[in-house]
Amino acid sequence: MAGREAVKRAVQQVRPILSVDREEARKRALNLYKAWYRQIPYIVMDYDIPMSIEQCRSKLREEFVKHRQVTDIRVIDMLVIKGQMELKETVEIWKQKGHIMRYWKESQDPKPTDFLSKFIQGVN
Amino acid sequence: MSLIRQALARTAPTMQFTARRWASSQDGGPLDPSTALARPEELDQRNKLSGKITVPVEVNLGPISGVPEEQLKERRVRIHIPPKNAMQSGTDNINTWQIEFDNRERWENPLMGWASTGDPLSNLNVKFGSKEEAITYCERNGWRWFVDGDLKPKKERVKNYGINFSWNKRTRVSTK
Repeated sequence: MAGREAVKRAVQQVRPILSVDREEARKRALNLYKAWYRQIPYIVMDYDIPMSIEQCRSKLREEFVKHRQVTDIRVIDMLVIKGQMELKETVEIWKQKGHIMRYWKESQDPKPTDFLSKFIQGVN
Repeated sequence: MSLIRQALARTAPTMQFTARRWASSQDGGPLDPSTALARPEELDQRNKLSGKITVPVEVNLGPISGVPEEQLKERRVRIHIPPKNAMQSGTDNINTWQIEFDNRERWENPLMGWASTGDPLSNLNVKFGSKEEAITYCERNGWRWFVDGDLKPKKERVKNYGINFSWNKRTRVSTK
């Protein structure tokens, strides 16, 4: 059903959010990346996180590469807007150390898989 | 109505005249200050944004919906019609399609003994008018889905009490 619908109409006309073509969206994403990249030394200093600048930059790259397969211009724009908001929150120190460290997700323990550790943690 | 039209016809020439006089004195219509003061690039951008862009119909909102990544990958949605309440005969509230996520771990809270769950999507309750709408919603959000309880056409049969006692049915029990 959904497949047939998609075959019927592959493209649609919509209102743009920020960018009108792919090139513009790409420029916005690159600008955001550069802004984060330049801000990282100050973030590491201000928040006093136990990470080096290189580690932060590799994490930044990872976060951007995660959305590599996104092709829709509007989705790219929304991602850029969200990234911009996060940057603003970070720069203005509206976040705290834990919010920054959440990118590494160290506080989330992997779930136990074998019987004994499940039993000890009380997880079925 | 005709009175209004007459009145308009009478005033129209004077309005045209004033417009022409304005045009001759100002060389162009009245300008909006924000348009007049904008830089050319800004005007270009505004024109572009007022137009439309062509995008594929199939869009994945997974990256921007705010749902955690691991939830997007692992969850599966069941699309179904809610069942009728067995204790009541009304059927008015079962004409919708609902989506429901697979069940996740629940546990008894050690403090009060209440039921707890760490599942952020367990209470998501969205109703749709049709199955197709629900499927579109799931696909746009990047969830795997399956349709449960699809209505099968019922096999037709003759409902007649007398047929039970037909001569060729052999359903009559002998009383002897």
